Amino acid sequence: MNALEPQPHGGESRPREGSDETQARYDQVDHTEADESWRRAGDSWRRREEIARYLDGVRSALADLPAEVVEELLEDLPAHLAEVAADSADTLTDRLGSPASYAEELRTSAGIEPPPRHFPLGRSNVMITRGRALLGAADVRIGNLIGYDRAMDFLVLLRPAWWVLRGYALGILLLEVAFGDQGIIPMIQGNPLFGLGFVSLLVIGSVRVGPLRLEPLRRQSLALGQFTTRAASALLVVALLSIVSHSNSHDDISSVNYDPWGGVEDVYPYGSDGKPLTGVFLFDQNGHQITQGNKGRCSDGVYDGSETWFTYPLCPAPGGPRTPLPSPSERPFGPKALIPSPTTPTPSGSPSTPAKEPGAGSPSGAPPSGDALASR
Amino acid sequence: MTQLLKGVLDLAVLAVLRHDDGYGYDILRRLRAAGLDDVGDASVYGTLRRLFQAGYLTTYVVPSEEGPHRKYYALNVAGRGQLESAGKVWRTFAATMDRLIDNGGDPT
Repeated sequence: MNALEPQPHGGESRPREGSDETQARYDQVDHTEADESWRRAGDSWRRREEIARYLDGVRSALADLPAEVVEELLEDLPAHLAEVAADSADTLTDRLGSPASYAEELRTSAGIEPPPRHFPLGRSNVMITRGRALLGAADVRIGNLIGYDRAMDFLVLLRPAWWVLRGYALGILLLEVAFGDQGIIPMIQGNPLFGLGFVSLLVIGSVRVGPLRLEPLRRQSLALGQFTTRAASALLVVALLSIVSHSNSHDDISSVNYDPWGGVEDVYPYGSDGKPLTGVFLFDQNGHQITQGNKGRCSDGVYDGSETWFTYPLCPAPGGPRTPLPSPSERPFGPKALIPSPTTPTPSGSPSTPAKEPGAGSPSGAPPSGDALASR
Repeated sequence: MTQLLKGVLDLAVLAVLRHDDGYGYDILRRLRAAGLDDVGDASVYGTLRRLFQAGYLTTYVVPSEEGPHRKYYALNVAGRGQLESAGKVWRTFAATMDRLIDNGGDPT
């Protein structure tokens, strides 16, 4: 059978190709019972999946309790879910309510304090009460939107994911402080393996720790403790986001390929006496001529396309470069008091202007020899 | 009915276990069969746990080949004592309420 051909749905695996003989033999056999038992097996598998999922949901909702208590509370649940599932074809949620509401009811009837949904401030003023009412209303409305009584029921299911995230965030934060330059993938000295290893340890630790519980001395401390842990968690996430977003922009700036001289269109050479030079050839450390800039941009120069050599300045404009030069005291050459007059080089812009300074190559066409360079 | 139930579920569970031990689902069924159809599954299990913690119940596990092992609950001596006294309290309370409803507080 060609694996790429679309297979029929429904778990039936009739032979698609093969001789007519095979097909005839297949058609003769009664498959009703086999199909029935396949369907029943599929149903019972589905039910077991459903039970497992329901169980996980209840467990998540109780995740803020100590592990032994949770295990105790859930001891009878799998058996019960199995009985309920066997009893009727309704979904578990239809019969028992959402896992979160089941957990809530279980918790209350077992005599355990309900989880504080909002941190109790003790003395609440009107604003806070109103705020909480609004949050409560939003809770229900958003919850209904996604199919839960309250949005908190859904968020509570995400608790383990939060443990992973906070471990990761803490790891990235620590690495950033120690080594700097972190992105989404944690690295130690540019090595992602060590970075990931370190962060993985923290993630495992965070999941093992589970819900952060601060043993309160008094009721007031409980509220404060909760507020502190939640604020710290929020700050952690904010720090993580800022580090990651900073790293994205950081890459652009520190990238090796960034060329600080990429925008140079023309070079205005000045001699040590502060006088502008014209018809200057520039060479790099390897003896290659520097041809930075675009001669075609010269608007006032005459460019007949005949010249073969790059001499600077390419577009000698009257008055020197477009933006004013740094003040004399800032310039790296010559007596500080000297102010170079922006004497107009030959306005023709033609490369055949005779060089005024020794060392500038001859524009006649002969490549400057090493002697010419050495004579400087 | 749910509000009333919350107060007396302990007593109801103890009563149901008086003659026969039972496992969770079984206890739930008995309660519903007796007429308490509003009782929530989770509430029964929570109550069983509370009663056990209070020392009124003992538990034992019955292994089974087909499904998960069943945990059975049984009244112990303390449990029977509690059933007795809570039962008395209830009857007194029920009588008081009956009188109140009939006479509206009139002592005659």
